[in-house]
Amino acid sequence: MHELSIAQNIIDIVCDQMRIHNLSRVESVSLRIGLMRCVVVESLSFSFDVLTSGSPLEGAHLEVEEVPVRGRCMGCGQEFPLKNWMDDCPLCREARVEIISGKELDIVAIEGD
Amino acid sequence: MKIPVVKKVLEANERIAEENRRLFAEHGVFVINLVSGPGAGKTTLLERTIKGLKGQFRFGVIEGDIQSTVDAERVASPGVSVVQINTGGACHLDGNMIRGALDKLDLGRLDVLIVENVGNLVCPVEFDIGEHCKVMLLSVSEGDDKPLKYPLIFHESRLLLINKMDLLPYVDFNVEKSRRESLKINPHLEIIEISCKTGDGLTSWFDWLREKVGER
Repeated sequence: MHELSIAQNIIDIVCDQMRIHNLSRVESVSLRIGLMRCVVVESLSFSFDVLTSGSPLEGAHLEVEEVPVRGRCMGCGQEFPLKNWMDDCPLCREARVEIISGKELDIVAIEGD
Repeated sequence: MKIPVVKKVLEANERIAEENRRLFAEHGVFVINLVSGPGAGKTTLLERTIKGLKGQFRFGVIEGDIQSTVDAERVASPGVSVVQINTGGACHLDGNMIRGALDKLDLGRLDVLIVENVGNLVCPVEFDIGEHCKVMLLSVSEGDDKPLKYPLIFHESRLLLINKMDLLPYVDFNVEKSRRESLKINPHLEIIEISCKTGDGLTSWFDWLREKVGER
């Protein structure tokens, strides 16, 4: 249930931003979450709803863009999507692959007035 | 009105973890975040390690559990400083919990601090506590499908200890498959096979620890 802690962290950041930008109401919060994070989006939204109930953030919803996992071949440098963890480099068949995206956990925008 | 923000969701935790890291560096303490599923043998490994390296390092231990002081009592021995954190429900330790525990430890009198995280293959790996590295423990009785099911913990760990090797004849655990898939997820991962029960492989683990403490 790391979703609950993550939701609380999102709320703290959004509350700060509301003060900075003088917002009284938030409609949505846009997030980018890498698939390696194993965040269950439904569970994150549920946690967010529970934690914001009765607060100025009540009714805001989370818009999540899931970021696929990409790797870079440690042999030839080719970058490619990793469908499962066992993919070799499609170009040179090298087995050692470094993960270059899929660990994102970022807030990218807040919509409100 | 749409406001572009671009902030790391866990930035508050990362800030505190950085402060912890600075404190550890200041006192020259090598810090391990020990992670695994429940029952993989983290506390037994701690007991063996503290006993095996007695007189060589001054150990500190932070025990993270949802409830109870069972683990702290097991690890407590003369010359070892132990702090128990009860998360009261949270499934992981975070930077702030560690920061609080550090008030109860004299870092100036420690060489190695091992933080035994809450047994869980998902959440602990999300929260930086300011450690030098994560060491993951995987026991053969948990099954060899763990790398594919929980890739992030393998990706983030520096060392994988495959534990309970003495049980290998009784369980369907393919060591080669597990090694191959772990390295696929993290080509930099180091792997040592051990049995805390028989003591097999522990010398390699102690050597690894000595080397890393030397580099600190």
